[in-house]
Amino acid sequence: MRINKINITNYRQFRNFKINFNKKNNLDLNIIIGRNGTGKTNLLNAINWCLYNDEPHLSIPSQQMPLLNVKSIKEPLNKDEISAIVEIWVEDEDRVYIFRRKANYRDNRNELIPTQKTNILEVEIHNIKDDGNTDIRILSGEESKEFIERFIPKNIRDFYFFDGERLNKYFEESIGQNIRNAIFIISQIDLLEKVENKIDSFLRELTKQAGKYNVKIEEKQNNLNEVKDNIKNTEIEIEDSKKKISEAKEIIRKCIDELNKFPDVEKLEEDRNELKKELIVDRKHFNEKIKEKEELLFEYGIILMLLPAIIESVNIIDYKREKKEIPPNVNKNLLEDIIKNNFCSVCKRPLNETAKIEVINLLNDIKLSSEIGNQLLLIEHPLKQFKDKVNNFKKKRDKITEEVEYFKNNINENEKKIANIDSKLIGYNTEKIKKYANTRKTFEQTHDYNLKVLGILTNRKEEYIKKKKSLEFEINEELGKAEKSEKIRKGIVFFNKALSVITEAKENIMNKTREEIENETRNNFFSFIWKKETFRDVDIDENYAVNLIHSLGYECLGSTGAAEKQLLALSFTLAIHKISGFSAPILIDTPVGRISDENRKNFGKVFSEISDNKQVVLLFTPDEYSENISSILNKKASNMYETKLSEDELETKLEVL
Amino acid sequence: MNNTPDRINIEKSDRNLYDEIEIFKNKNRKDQFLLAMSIGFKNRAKHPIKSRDGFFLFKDMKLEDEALIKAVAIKEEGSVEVLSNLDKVFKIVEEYAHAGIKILHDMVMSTQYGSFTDVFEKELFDIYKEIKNQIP
Repeated sequence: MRINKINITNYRQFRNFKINFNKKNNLDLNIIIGRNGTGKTNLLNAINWCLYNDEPHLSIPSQQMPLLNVKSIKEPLNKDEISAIVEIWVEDEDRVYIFRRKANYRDNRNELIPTQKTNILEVEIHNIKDDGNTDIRILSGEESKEFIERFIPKNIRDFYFFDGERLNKYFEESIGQNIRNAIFIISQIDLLEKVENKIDSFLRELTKQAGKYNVKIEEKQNNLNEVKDNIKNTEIEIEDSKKKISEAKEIIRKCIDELNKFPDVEKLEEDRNELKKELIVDRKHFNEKIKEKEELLFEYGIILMLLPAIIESVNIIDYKREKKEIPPNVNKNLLEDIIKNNFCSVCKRPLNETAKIEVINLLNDIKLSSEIGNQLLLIEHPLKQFKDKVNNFKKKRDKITEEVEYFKNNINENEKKIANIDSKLIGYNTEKIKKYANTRKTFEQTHDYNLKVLGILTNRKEEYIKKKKSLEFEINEELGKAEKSEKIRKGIVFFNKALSVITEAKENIMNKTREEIENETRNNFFSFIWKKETFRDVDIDENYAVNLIHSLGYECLGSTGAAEKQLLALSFTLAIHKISGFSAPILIDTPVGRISDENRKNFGKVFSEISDNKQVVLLFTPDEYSENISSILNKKASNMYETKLSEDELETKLEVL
Repeated sequence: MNNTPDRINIEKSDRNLYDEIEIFKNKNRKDQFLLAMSIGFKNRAKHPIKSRDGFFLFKDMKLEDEALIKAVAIKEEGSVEVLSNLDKVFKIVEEYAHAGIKILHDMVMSTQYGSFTDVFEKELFDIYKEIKNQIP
């Protein structure tokens, strides 16, 4: 899907503006250059206004101006109405879609600005048939809005039409939450959520009915509803703490960025960074050792507490072995054969009734003791091993305690050193250093605190889920007791199964989408990046935070350069394009505004590469479109335009370059 | 028909106690049961089961686990004859676990969050000091 042309009439500084994006020799890279104020950003607003009826990128001067073109207001009119129209022509294989928004204004010469009368969105669908004829269908009202949601959903439009500044600030905002929202929308699981809620209300209703047959069911159902509400509330709290973690992480990164700009603190920051890395590793080892210790105590706890039983059993086994009671010394098979054949194979004569009874009794006695004997033989070895193992308890416990203490001391030492650096930073005369050092310290505490909260909440949610399952099981059992409620029971079982399938599917889809976006972001980043050896990996963690891993193994997004950060943001944006399945073009206003000259060349190559697979529209200022980038993009451009203002500075004109 | 019991039961109301204990996270039902049983045994506390609730299958026990529950039954009965009656072996260990899980739950709930391991470690070390002379 690609934009073929945009026609704008009487919208802001566009009086009668037409721009074509025709492909040339299969090239689809469109460059628009224009000085500030010539209408580049309002072209972005025009697209948004046409599709979604809002103007998210409006500058402060533009906010003071009416949407209707000023010149059109001033000119004498021959009719009662003036219209602002934006038309976007989109082509997709054998179809053409024309998105058209038209706002009619009543001409009221007594007022400075005419009042808007109507604002209508239409979508024209031109279906080109095999015989060359075209079917045309026009959608309006809700139908047209729904159609646009299938073109590019409003919630993810920012990944398609955006200001380059957005890429620059990508990781300074609470991006984790934004990424989660994007993944949620792309996964299209909102429908599953609706079904989930509906089934839950069916379930509540059914169990309420069942409560009429059995008071216990009503009581348990009330408990179940309470547990379900607790799960939902805990999920909200989990999301909230994830958001706080993500926000804190971004603020910490920002502070590190800012602090690194001061030459005086560079060395301190370097040391702090090293200590932080060591702290992360030590904390990881510390937690592992604590777990190991817990395992050891669990295992030895059982053995130590049961030792009297173990020792006594071992003593009995030893005694029985000494007495030759074990292993069993009678041939059980021989006795069984004698009874079966009614003939004694030892004394070589048939058995009489008395002898047979005696052999049967003997076999029963032997059966018992040999069975016990065999069991004792089986448990002898493990019990003796347990007994021996106890001797190692102190040694093992001391070793692991020592290791735990070692990492604990390292952590304490490093924390002290970091606190020392922090107090030096806060003690600087420069207000900005103080501010960033203080802010970082506060948000590191917020981050760590919320990580703990998240752990507690996740455990709490698991507990509630267990309780929920157990209550569902109990309700099912109660329902089984009353014949009358059998039908309801079957219904509840069915809906419960359906609900668990949907819940599981929802989580799986979200995780799968996150993984796919992560893989695609990683692939994009490593195919574009110019410093191939500097970075090792890109991941999106469970809190939906994007992490850039340095080749030395630590997370380095906070301390990496603006160009690399912007490239990562672009890689993520393109991943969203691919995974979402919305194959729309990418339009970026001031794409390299914050990129240094040296890296503009690299970005030129990246945009050129992207345009091999999708339509790219880039809006540059003349300064931004410097030699470094133009030397690369000029060769690949399918269309090049320049926006200029008319002499009276009220109208945008377009020139082909 | 084979009447050998195929599963270990717990008191129905104990299931919640098992689910609430932090150190039981990531432990299977069999290991949870063995610790509860050990604590009951150590404290010489044994309570009859009123309402049985299947907890895990006997086939999930390894030979070492089987050795432990049989050792408890032998100690309890003072005789190896108990091994010929698996029902009785199960009854003994289930009753110890029933009492043990309550003791453990109370211990966990009466300690500060996260400090149970320290308390448990101290208890174990005291047991170790007490019994180390018994081991040849």
